[in-house]
Amino acid sequence: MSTIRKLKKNLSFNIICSVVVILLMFSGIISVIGYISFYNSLTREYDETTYAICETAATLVDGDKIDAYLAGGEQEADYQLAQRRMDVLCEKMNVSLIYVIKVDTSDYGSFVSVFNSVNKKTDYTRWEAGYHREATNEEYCQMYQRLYSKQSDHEKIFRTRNLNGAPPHITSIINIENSKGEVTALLCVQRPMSALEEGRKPYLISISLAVVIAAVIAATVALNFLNRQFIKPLIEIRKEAQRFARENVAGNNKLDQSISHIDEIRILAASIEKMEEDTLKYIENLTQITSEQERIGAELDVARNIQEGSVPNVFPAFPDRKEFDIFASMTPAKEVGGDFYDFFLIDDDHFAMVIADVSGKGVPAALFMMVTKILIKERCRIAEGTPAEIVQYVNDRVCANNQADMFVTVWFGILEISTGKVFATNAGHNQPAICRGSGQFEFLPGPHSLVIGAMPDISFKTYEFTLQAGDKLFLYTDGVTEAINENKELFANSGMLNSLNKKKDGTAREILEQVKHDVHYFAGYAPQFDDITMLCLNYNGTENQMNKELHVEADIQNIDILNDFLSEYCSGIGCSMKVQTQLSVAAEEIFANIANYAYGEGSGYADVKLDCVEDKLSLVFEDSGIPYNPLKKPDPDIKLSAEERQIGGLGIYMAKKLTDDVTYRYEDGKNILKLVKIIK
Amino acid sequence: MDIIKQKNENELVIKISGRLDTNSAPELEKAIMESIEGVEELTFDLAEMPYTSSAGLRVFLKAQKQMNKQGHMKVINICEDVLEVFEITGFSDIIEIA
Repeated sequence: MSTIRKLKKNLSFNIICSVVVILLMFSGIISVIGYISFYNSLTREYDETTYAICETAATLVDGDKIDAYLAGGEQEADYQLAQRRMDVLCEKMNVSLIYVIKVDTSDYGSFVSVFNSVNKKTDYTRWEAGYHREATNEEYCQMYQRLYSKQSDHEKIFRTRNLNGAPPHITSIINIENSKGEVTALLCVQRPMSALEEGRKPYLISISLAVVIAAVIAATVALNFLNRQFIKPLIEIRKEAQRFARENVAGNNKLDQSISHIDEIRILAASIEKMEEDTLKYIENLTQITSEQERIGAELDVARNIQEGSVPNVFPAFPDRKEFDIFASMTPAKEVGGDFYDFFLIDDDHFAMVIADVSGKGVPAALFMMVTKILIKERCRIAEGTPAEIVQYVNDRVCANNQADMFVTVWFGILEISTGKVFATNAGHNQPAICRGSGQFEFLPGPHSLVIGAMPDISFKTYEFTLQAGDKLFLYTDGVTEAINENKELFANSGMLNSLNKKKDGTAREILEQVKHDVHYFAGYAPQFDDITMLCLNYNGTENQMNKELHVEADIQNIDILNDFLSEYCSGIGCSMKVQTQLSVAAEEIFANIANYAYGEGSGYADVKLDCVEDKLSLVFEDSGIPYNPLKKPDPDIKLSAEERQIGGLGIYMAKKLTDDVTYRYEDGKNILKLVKIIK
Repeated sequence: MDIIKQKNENELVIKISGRLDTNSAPELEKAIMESIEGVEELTFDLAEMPYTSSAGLRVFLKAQKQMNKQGHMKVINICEDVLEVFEITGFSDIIEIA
């Protein structure tokens, strides 16, 4: 089955079959036409010769003596002479029958035999003279009538079909006239058409053979032509197309343009060649582009490593410095980014922090970023200066060679580690977020200056703020606040502050990673749109010189504020809970005293200053109230019974007992009470 | 600061949770004065009280004076830091610490 199905799809097979079928039909038609003309010429020939035999036979019969022949019978000498001659003629001319009949002219439906010669080679029975017989059929009757009435002098009838086994034959009939010109009898000659019988088969065989040979020759020629001009070229083209599809390389031999004389085939071959050439060109181009992309990709990887290595990325960055804890991260949107952070110690007491965002992204931004970063750091290294001076220097250098009109927003701050004071310049950058004490993260306002790279010779503003121990400063680029999710919603300032506050008591790393996580979670499957860079500084204050101040209204209700202030400070320096509680009780007693008595019926403020030098923690209370030295008051007698005890004076006594030293002085209109506690 | 009172006939147990300082002491004083009448056995449970100042001591003294008239008073479950305050001030001598 599959072989047949394959053959049905095979072009050569289909064409051969079509040609053969067409040629067979053609040869069939030729055979039929040939046979018809063969038959016609043969019957004409028979008709003419048989007619001649009839004419010859008619000379043997005397038309005037027909009735005499019949009356005299076969014994008559004239009859016998004519009969003998007729028999000889019959044998010599190789006809089946020669007979003379007298037709009953009343209805031409019957006749009487006069003479009858039968060829000995046939099986016919001779009719005796006077033998009466009905006409064979109506056709004969009509012929008899036409001959008797002289409408024709020659009739013929061919019997080639429905012969009941008899060979085909022709019967030719002429009339015999008497001397008066009247028709007295009819002479019939029946001649076998053996030539037709014998000639038909060989003729048909030969013509068929001739046609088949012609068909084969024609088919061969046609096939040869088709094969050479059509099928072979097509197979060549198919092979070449298959080979190309498999190998995708140029072939050893090109398709010959004279592959065929048929235009369509030549065009097809040329098109295939052209397609191959074009495809090869495309492949070559694509390979080049791909390798170029790979090269660029590899270079970008290296560039990324260089960029990552150019910013401090080992944490903890300053394991020896307990005064602060810093963590930062940089996540470019592309391989390399235009954001950067930087931090470094200018000297032992000055710590520089930078966060910046170059306009644009990718390689140009990365190059610009490197220039800016190096300029800032080098300027800090070579000479002292305020942040404004440093940024101005950087701006002038950047502007001098700013071919691409790029700019960079920078927040640059210098922390004085010993005091917590920060001097900063904000060149068009986002406001940092700050978390003070136990409060929440909020934005730290400050004056803005123009971005770096926009315009040379402009001045920048420095502003100042102080970090207390426990304060946190968070620097970031707009990649954080402008991160978008799949619904194109912004993470926004509120999102960032919420995130910061989740971990506001954590380490710098914890805070930053919380924000990073939240931004990532918020963005979901939305691609990172901008570089995301963050820096978090937790300022712990200096261990040997930490001071803090609280300026608070001397109201007993503010004890909680005092207590928070104190406990936060104590946690920051690592006091034990016991020391913390003792200090807390002492502080409350002093503060309650000030609140209740220092300002009489009026109100005023109390300043509380905490300072820790080595293991000595000093707690100083200042108020501008009535001068009063509580230490002058004698200690209460703690041996008295409950009934005798007075509650007054107990608070100061407790303060003294719970601390290591208490001193009082009055200075510049202020009561100054100092408690000292050894904390370790 | 939270105050939980349990009164059983003439017995009163007052449980204090949180800091007892100048601000919260008047609240405790009020709570005691509301319930002290007829109480013969007053107990302060200080398990949850980590801190007291002189203002707190004043309230305890006042309660002690009152209970001296009508019955007996003690504090239980006192924590270390508070005990220290009681000791410094001699209150551990006038208030029974169980």
